[in-house]
Amino acid sequence: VTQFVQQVVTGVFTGSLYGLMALTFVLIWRSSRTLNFGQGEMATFTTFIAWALLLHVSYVLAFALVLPIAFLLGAGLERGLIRQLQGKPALNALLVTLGLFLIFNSLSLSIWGAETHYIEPPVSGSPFDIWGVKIPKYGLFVFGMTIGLTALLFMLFQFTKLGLALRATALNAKAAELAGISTGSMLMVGWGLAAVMGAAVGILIAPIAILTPNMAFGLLLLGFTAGVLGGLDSPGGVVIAGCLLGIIQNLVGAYLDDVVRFLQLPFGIENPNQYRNIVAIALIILVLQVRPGGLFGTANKERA
Amino acid sequence: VINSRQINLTPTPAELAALFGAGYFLWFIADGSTGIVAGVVGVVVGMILSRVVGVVPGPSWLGRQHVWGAVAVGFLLAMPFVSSGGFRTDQLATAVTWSLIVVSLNLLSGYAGQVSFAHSAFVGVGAYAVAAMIDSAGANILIATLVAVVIAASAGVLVGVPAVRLSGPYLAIATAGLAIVFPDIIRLQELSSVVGGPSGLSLFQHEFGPPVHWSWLTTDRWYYFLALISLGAGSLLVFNLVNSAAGRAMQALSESELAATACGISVPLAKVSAFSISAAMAGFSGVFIFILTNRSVSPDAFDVFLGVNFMVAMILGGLSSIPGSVLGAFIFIFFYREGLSTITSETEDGTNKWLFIGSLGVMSVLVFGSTTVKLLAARFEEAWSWKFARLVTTLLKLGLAVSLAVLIVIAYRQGEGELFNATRLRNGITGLSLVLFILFLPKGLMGLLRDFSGLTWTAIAQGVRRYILVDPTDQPSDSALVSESPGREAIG
Repeated sequence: VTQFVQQVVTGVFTGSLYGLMALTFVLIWRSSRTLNFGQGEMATFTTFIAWALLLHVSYVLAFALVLPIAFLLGAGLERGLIRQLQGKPALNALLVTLGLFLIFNSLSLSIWGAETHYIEPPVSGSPFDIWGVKIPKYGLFVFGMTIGLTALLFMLFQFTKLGLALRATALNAKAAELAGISTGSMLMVGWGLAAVMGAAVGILIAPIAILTPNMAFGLLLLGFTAGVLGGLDSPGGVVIAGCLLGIIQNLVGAYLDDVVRFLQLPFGIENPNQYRNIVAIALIILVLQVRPGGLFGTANKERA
Repeated sequence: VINSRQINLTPTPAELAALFGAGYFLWFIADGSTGIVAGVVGVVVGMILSRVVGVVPGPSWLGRQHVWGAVAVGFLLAMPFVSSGGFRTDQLATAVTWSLIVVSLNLLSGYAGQVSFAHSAFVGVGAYAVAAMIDSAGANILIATLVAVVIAASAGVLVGVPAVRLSGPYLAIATAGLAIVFPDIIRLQELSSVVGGPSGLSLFQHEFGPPVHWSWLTTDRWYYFLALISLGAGSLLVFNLVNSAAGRAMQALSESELAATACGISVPLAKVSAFSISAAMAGFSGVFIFILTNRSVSPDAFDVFLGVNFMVAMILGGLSSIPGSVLGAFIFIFFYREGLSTITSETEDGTNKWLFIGSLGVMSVLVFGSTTVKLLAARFEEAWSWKFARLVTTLLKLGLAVSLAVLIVIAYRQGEGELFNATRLRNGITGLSLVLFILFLPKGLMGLLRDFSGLTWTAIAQGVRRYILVDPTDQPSDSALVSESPGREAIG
């Protein structure tokens, strides 16, 4: 039981990051009705900026400096690029974000190189021990940051005038415009916020994963998985789905071998951790078969 | 439609920069560079020339499609004998194989409108199936290939069946996920006895030479012609398919699945068959690159970038176009892949580097510069007096061209392998062109050519003006067109 709880706890910690990543997809999906394939690479890029800043300033300051940079990056991309594609087929915007994926990946690679970089975790030391369950300090920090950021975002959406305008734009852009909301700027803010969240995920995950230009491939996949599980228009759903995904991944890592042995399948599993990403894609496909709009999302109703 | 009075012969700064770049190129080509680069230069020079000689009508046979088709086929047949052989022929074979892959991708993503990033996986399935059969069972390559096509087709069905319920972004997610996960699946320890795990399989001890011994038919040329014949057969297959009832059903999917259902089309059947045919073709193509030319397969060869690159090649050439697929694949292989690595390989005199930098600069100024400035100019004219706006616009253009040149020079001086490393920037350049194409040429190069279908000099000039060299202050041709047929816009 202790091992099970242990797996669940660490799963929640990493999973909260997937949820945060999925949240960026939700933000963009709600504002522009597109997916940003470049999100992960943008996050990596800003993480590298944070790494460069960390050579000179403290962790808190670097974190605080990177977020506005990320905001400008995201908002600028929306204004300069995505805006041009309004009213064009949805595929166009998708392919442009694919271009962003390539551009940012190669920018990180050509500026900082393919070798691995390290970001020291701001909190370290021996993990807390509660009834045998080890709770790593950094994991707790990540979880706390995730909850904090999500709460901040929630408050922004729920209790401020800007949040109201953002929600109105997502709900019905035409009506929002008639009510005097500059929907264009709202889309820009949406992209900016998404980039901020992405940057935060990048910085938080860098000490766990290894910071290389290709760091975000898995993150992109897992963020998408959490997004699909939770439903791309359900911010609360994706955070929960992200945590679930983290738990499932960890349980697969820990127990897949036992399951195979229990079912007496004709093969053995030597390294269950290899299956983490494969389980994610299997989950995507399974969930989409049953509920094409995600677990907590609303299905996309098509009218001819 | 255009008469000489309406054409402004004074070149804009952007065009001057382009002219400079073109002259620079010609100098290097005289110095002995590759023909593909010469072709790119030809296009740029042609654009400039057509601007200048826009009033001269060209010969009418230039507009005939089959003339261009014959030229293209002649080019493809002659290339292995004209080029310097060996390595170059291998590249050509790769380009032809990529063409076949892009044709198959176009069937699925272009005609049937199903976004698929998973084509790298389909190619991988085919290549791995053949490699595994030869490696572990010593199978005959012909039989192995046939079986591999069946396996790839089943992989297509396997992906197509769940895809029936997905569309748009969700399908993109699922296929992108498959592309990301495919190398992970290959790397699984449980499968390593069959597919070789992380290090892959190599078939270097096997020979797949030509069955007859003719002196002109070297192994390279044999592979090339095999690939070319396959490309011909594949193109014919897709061409006939999209012009048949089954193919029209697939094309209906890209418009609206609901409407297709209402027309009595079985959406699941159309979707799954599009996936399986496309996957079978892609799996078949995998045999050429990985078995015949490279003679090895490894998980890293089938990473996400491969699938994305197929997509880019398709967009470059043009969606829903078979000749466009071939064009896109050739440009991708020779410009983005080989062109960029040539630059890094010759650093002593740096000529190739400058060639590349120049072409990049010219293209950015042409495509990006003029169009952004055009957008800005419209704003300026609303705000300020016409003359002042024009002055500002001209200054902006000049500033853009100069600052771009300065930036490129700085990047080059700084770099010497650090900041400006062409191999590392390769994906970025690919991505940048993808973005630029989507923004400015969403129909791809074939769409551009099709708009030039008259192909008189006047038509070229008109097209070039509309697409690239548009000067915000004079746009003569469109108004003339509209006045000829006033109801045109309303009906269309």
